[in-house]
Amino acid sequence: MRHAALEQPIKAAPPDRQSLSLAMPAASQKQLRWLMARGNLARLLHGLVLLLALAALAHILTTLLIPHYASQDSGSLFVVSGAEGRADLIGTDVNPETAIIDADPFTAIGVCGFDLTDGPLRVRARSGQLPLALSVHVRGGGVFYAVTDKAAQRGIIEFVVLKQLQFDERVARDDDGESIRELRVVSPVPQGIVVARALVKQPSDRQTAEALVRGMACGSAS
Amino acid sequence: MAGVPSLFAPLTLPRRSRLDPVRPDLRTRYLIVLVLAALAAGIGSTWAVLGEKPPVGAVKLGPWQSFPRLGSADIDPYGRAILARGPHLPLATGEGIQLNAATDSAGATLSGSCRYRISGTTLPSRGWTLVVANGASRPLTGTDAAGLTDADVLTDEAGKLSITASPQMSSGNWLRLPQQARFELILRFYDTPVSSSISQLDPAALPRIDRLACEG
Repeated sequence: MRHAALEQPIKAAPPDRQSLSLAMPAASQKQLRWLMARGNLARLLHGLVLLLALAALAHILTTLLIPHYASQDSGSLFVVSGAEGRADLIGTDVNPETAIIDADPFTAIGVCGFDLTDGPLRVRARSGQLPLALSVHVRGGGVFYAVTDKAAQRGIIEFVVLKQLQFDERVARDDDGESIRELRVVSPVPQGIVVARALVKQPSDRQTAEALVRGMACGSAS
Repeated sequence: MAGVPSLFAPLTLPRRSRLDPVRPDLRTRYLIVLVLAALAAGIGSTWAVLGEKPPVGAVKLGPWQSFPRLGSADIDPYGRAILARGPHLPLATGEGIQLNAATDSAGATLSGSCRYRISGTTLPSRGWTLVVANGASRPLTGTDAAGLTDADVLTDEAGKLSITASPQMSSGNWLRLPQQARFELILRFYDTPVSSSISQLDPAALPRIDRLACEG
């Protein structure tokens, strides 16, 4: 009868690094050290590359996400402005909490907020003696439309802000062959603000400029 | 892969003890530290580049600098993030252009301890304003507020202007500067035909800023 243990293959214990290096000639030891150093360097480089890649990803994500979670940008702060159908006056001296950081002190600014989920918005402003411009800013930053009083017809600047779907519905409703006397501006996002800005060249122009921007009407265009 | 050292090769050797199941093993700890360091570096670098001005998209015209994409539909993500951090209303393309100067025409930082001459031509427009701002590009307010419009400035027969900017009152066209402080100049042109082609503008079409003298 043969002993079971004798049938087991003999497993040699793996040589540790020290015994291995002792058993090696000097040239091989040098080569082993060089290989180990190269391995450590490669691991360090791998770690650095991984760190940089993750840091770049975090940088890109935070930059892209800031506008989505912002609550202090103009589009968020003034989205309820003009609820009474007329632009609200904003600026450096009206309310310090909502003062525009980089506003030109030589301008008067009126704002109407909009949310196109409630329907399209009709904007109408009267031009005057002072330079006036209207611009549409979207929530989260960006301006997608601007017009100056040079484009006014019979002293009136008028346009409709709407979503793509609302625009398509309106086009489908239009009668064939009938000329449409309505300027339609498609907004890329549903929320934003319409800004009226009048230049105040002299202090005596201030009241006129404020009346001009307050005169911007914003109402439903359904 | 044979021959290629694995990133985690030495870190997989110490196995987690069954007696200590809560303590993460060396590899998990390594990953946590790596992710936290990457998050700190990523968020920190975002914070660092989102100052008052975007890190990209600047148009340099002599001492003046403009960021025309801030007021357009193709605004870059950095510009969008900067606008999201506070109430800003940049001039829209077609509405006008804004130019900032933090240095004079020789490249030296603008300082309230010096006197400057702002001279040359201006762009065709319905009106322009020149405002003194602090080092963070925010217009000075209250009693420090200072600025001029085209209606305040007298020009010569050729339409060229010459403004003396200094803390002390000066004859002629004078722009008051803050005492001893670093400042910026913000020049805005309203309803100008060049607002959509500012990158092709010749710097000579804009006023120069020359330092005349400094105190101390």
